[in-house]
Amino acid sequence: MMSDLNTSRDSYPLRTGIISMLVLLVFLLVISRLAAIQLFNSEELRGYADSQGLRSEVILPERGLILDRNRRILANNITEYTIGGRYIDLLEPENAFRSLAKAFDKTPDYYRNLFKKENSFYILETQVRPDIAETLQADKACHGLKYDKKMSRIYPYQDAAGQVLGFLWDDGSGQLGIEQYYDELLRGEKGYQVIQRDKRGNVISAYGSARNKAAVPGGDVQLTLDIEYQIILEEEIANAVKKTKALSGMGVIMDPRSGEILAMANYPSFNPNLVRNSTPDIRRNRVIADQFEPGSVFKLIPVSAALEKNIFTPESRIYCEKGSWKVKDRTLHDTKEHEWLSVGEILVLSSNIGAAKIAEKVGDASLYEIARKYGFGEASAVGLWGESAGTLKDPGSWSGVGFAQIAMGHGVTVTLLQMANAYSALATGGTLLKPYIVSATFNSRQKKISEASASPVRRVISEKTAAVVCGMLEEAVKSGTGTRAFIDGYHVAGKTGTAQKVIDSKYSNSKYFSSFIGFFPASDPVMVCAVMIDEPAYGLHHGSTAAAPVIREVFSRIINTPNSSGIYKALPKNTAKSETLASESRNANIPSLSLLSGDNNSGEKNINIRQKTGDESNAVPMGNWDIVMPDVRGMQILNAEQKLRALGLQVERNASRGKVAEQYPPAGTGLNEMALCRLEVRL
Amino acid sequence: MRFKDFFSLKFSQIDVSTLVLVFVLSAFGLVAIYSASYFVGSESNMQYFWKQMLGLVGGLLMLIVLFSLRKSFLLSYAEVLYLTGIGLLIIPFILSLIGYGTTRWINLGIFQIQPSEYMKFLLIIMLAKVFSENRRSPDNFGYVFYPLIILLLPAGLVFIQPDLGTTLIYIVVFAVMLFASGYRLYYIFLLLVPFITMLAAFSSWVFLVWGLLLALVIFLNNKNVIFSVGMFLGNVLVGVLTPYFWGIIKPYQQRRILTMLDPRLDPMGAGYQVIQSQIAIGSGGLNGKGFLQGTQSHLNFLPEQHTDFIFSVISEEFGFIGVSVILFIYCFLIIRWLRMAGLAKSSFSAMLIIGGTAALLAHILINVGMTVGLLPVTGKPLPFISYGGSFLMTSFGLVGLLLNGNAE
Repeated sequence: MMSDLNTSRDSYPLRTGIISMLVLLVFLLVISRLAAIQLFNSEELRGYADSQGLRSEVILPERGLILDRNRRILANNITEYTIGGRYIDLLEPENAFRSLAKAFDKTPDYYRNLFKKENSFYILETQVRPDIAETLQADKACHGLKYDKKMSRIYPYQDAAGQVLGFLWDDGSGQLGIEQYYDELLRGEKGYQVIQRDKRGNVISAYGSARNKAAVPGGDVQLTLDIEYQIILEEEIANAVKKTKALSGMGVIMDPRSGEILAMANYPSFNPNLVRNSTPDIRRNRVIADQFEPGSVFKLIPVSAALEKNIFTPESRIYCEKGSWKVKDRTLHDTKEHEWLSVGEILVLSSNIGAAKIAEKVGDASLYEIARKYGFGEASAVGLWGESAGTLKDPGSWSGVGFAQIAMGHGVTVTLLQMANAYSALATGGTLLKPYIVSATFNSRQKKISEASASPVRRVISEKTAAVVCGMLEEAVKSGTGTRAFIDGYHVAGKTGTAQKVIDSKYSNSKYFSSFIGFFPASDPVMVCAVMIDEPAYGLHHGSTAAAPVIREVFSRIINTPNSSGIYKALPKNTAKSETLASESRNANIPSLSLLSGDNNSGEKNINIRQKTGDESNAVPMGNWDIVMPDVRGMQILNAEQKLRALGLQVERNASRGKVAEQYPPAGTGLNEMALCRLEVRL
Repeated sequence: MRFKDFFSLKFSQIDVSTLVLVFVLSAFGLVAIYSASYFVGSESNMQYFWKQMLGLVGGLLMLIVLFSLRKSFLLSYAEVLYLTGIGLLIIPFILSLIGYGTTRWINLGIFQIQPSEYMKFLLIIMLAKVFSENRRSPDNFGYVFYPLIILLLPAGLVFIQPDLGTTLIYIVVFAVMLFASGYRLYYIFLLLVPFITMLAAFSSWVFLVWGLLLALVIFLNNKNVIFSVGMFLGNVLVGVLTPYFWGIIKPYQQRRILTMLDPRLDPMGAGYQVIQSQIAIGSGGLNGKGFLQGTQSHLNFLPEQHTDFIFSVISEEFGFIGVSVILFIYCFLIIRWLRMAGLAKSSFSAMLIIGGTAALLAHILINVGMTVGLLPVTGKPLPFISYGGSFLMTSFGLVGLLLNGNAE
């Protein structure tokens, strides 16, 4: 059968010819297909090719800072990188692992083992510092890794002023507080950059494009808060809440001369760095959001109205019914069986019956008018989200005993800020100012775009009336219900308030709001502080026991905080002079302190501290410095803290690792035992 | 046995135009590989270029070896070589069963061999012998059986690897050789019928029309009633069973078969490649973007740009004109070789030429068809141009084999 093995068959030329024709046809088909793609679809496909890998990438702007009055940073940004990648994208995997191991102090095996599949994406490192990420990005061995840059917000003072500042949500939007109210300014403007990337995601080139736009960083917001005062107020409220086993507490410090809010505190506190650990209830800024019945602090209203309308003089005597007075269907009670009291004594001793009788005489209309003038029933427009207006009903809707209720601070709700602001108006001569918490805003180039200053709303009462009422309130602290707020030599004035809480629409006999509003020095106040403790344990529930001591502690600590810690800077004008005085007095070892008073330049005065001999509980340690602040800058923060604690100082720090970059107060400052120092690491 | 029993060095008879054109194509390949491995932003990666040069040297050696083998040796040892090849195809399966390597490669430590590549030569030699032996007349239907067994053994092994592309190349080689050997067209038609029946069986109307058409063709062409009826009923059976078997296999198995037949059904895999390839080709236009100017390839959007999709790189950078030149050279070579086969002095020589030509043609068409979107993506490289040493050796070996058939 192998006969024609060596001869060709006749069929071959014909069949190979047919195949050749078919081959030719197929090649023509391919050529025409190519022509269709390359000659007729070319434009469109070229467009695809050009735009492929071109992406408009968002450049996130840096968020503006939030600063306190001394430009300390309350809200800052840190940049962090997340590093990840796919094994197959690495050009030199082994070298990359070595570089990573070196950068993060791990072994190359660690990274090799992370890649379980060579096609899958794995996150290698998170929260990488920018300098490390940039070094790796420049490292050729690490070509192919992906870097995800993320900016996070940090609040260096942790929970100090947390509710005021607000926080940043995952989507980068400001929530609550300053972060939300000034979100537009703080967030800046996104930028765009058209970038060409290859399939592996490596940046090939940045393109000049009409869509390109530089990111505009957010502007800064400077607050009127002084973080030192803020911390003092928060600590004292926290102490009071714990001591009285209360539910919560809040407080506010204002400069009555300008309406600036120096501190605004809520307890329990909220740390905006740890939003996930908090509840909406804790994040709420109660000082402006919560309304409550003020109680006796509201006696300011009938007394002011009576004096302003010349219905009574301060010395007018009113019969107080021996502690029990029936008005229509109600019976009012006083804690003591007073008989004849002057208007001043009624305020000092906080007589309900007296206040009600004054209110009756003043009349509903005048009572309402003065209360409105003090700012009740309307939001103060402080410039924060969620401010309540409180409720102050029209006198037309008051019941027959409405006047008596209002006189005692019932049937009306207020916010703590409204109360503090009303007392501020009283303290500075009777003119209501608009309170404010943002002193200035800046654009991205640090240029000031707005600046707040004292803005009067209206005159509430005459200067004379105001001065008289101030005197009564000073007396209340000296000898009345507010004695626990007394600081010898400082002329603290103030009023207590104890209001029954409304539980199930009935006044509770065991649950109270206790409050105290104080200011000093009474003759020319520089500071107003209002504190409210919610539900202190029964027995400690009076404003005089729960809230008044807080004011004393706060004022004492503020007065006693060394000059250099920013306090006197916080009280503007003539700081140089006051410092000289302070140093002189140090040399002379004479306890003295200078406080600057109001708007009149001549008003500077020295208040000599009389050493109190008797009641130790009211004694405020002053002047005699036991400790000289050492220089701890450049030390490891924990060592520095140890050193200061060994000297008997209290230490506060913004980080647990790193070298001390700033210290407050500076080296050489004289301090007393347990004075608060602050150490800062540059974050 | 001496060297002379295996080899005859007959370089004077080598076809010079073939050699020149093949090296022109290789030069095109080197240029394209240089471009495809050129990364923007880093130095050109010359390692692919030099490896390809090395592959060309290996290919040239392969060409010389296969050109110089005596045909008498090939005839005498065809079966031994073929069975050895089958053995080598089975070895990776055994190794993979006991946990060594994949089913495609045999790892010899310093290098790997892919038996299915060498099987191409051995299959051509074996089929050339079988088709030239003339045990039966090509006018007889049974003529196909023995060669069919020769095909199905390696094709089946490669198919279950699974390597659809190589299986397809074996089938094309077989079909072209069968056709060229003078087998009756009607019988070739009958061989194709069951596959058409399978596809037709998915629609009852199409199946009915197809059945009637089939009956008509069969009864017009064949006098043998038993054969005709058997053929027809066999097809009906195939048609009935196909949907049944399709119905009992699992959906993921169905999907796997469908994606094997049309990879575009897998949009993130092969479909992506097809789109990117077409963008690359289309954006080249008439003149191309110029050497090293292709954005598709340099941004790594083209998959397997230096191997399977090298044609797209050339299309993008050298445009319609550039690829037309390459296609023209291919076409010229194929037709030249087929003419050689028609003029060959012996059936065995003619069959060697036709087999080698068919294998190269299959590679070219499968690759180009894939890159221009006419055929599914099977991942077969382009002869002489694509990057890859072992495939260069195969391509040049096939040229050596067919030039061997032309010599003497």
